[in-house]
Amino acid sequence: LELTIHSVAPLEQFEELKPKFLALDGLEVAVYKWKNRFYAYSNNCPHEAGPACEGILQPDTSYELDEGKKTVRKYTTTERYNIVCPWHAIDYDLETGIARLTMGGKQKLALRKFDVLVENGNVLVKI
Amino acid sequence: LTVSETVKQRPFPKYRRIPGGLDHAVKYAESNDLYEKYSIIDLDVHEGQPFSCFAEYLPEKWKGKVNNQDLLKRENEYIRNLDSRGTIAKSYAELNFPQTLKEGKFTNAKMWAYRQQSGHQRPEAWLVSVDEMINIYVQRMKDMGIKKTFVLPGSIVFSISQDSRVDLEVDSCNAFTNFYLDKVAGKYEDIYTVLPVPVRSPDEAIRLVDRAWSEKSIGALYLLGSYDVQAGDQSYYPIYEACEEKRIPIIFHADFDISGYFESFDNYAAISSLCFPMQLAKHLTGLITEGIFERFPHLTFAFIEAGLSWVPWLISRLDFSLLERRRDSPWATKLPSEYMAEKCYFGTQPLENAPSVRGVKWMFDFFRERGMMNKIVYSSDYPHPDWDPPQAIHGLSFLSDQEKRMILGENARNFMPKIR
Repeated sequence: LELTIHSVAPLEQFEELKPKFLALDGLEVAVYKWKNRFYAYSNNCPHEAGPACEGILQPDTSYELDEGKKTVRKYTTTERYNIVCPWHAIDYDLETGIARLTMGGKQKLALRKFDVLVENGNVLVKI
Repeated sequence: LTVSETVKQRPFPKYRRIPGGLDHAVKYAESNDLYEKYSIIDLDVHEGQPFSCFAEYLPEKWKGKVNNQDLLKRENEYIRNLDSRGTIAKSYAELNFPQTLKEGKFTNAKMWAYRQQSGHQRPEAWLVSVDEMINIYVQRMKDMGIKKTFVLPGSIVFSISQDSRVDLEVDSCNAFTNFYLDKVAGKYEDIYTVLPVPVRSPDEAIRLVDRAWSEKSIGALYLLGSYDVQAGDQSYYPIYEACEEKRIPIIFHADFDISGYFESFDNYAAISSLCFPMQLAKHLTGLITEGIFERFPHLTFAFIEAGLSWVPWLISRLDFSLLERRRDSPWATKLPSEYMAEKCYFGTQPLENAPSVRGVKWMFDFFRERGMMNKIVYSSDYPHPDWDPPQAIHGLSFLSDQEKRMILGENARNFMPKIR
């Protein structure tokens, strides 16, 4: 299968954690910028085909355990972000596109991911 | 005594000659050579003895309160004189659960009454002393093709979780264990048991584990399904920590739970079909949503006496609920179905094979599709009336011979490496 390169927008138009959408025939792609890296995903939730990338980006929920394995606290951390599908709130790791719940398992639920290139001040995706 | 010696001595009539006997199961076992070919482990046989049998193992303070020397006699009378069953069952409850009755939870007593009315115990294992009972089990297991039998605590701990007296819970667990160590351990080949621990007193639970786990015929820890607090609660953590350290597998066994949600039922059929699987589902849901498998990665659990049909239901519910609400439960890093396929074993009994055995095919198909055939363990629940002989599994034509071998013995050996 041959990959086509599509231009999304000039680099300077990207804001941190604000997706830009690229509409193609039968496919919508969201491109995110975070900490000087770009991530592109299909705006199609593999769960029930909801518009996953139109949901909010949310800091990940984490926790701390004591020596007896009891939870000391639950908290949100901006070290990791999740794309949260607006239909059923399934959260996908911004960096990998894999649903957080399934990241450690054999069966992974994931958004379709595309490569992003930056050339001559333009952000491009390979589809 | 070895099994063969016991059989040779024939201290009791063969099963087939006992009223309400097991001729069919014995013939089936013989004609299919179950004993030699399958190395069957039965994970759930109940001692089913009244408190009076454990009297000598209970502290003085309970004498006359939770046991009665006449109880066995009165129960025999009940079995023989069915007309008086209502009265006898009530007095049974009064003797065993006076506190529960005082607290107005008469439903508990009603449960016992219904349990009695439904012919709860098979009389051949009911109207006998503890020693006789164990001898009967030793003989029975060979007759029905079973190699290793787990004799689990019955009336001595059932519903104890519902009694407000935590010291009684502690003493009952210790009484069963002491009875076992005294009367059974080391005396019979291929008879095993589990360790009931008082969940509401974790320090005592750990003391019991430290004291008794070294006995080679104790294969797992035994927790009742009737505890109000779900198994993911941090009150269980000290027990889990001890099990993690010693690599002790944990069994959750369904029990009579007549508080709250099930209180308005007063028949055994409803309790058996609804309360049992709901209890186990409650605890398993707690384990998953509270991240127990991440906190204690070496723990394994078996859930017994609620059949298999609730498992596909719960797997389906949990997978989609947690996927949508992972923020509530950030500990989980894989789908609940994956934790269940890796860490949880499920007892077959009572196999939901009415009105015909064809009705259970879908459940086994579900387990097979999910790679969980290695998580099904045979259990008979003998001598209770909803028991399943080995042929309930061996006779399923849609299972391969290897699958039957796994369910009837291999899986239980993997669950409890100590008793291999």
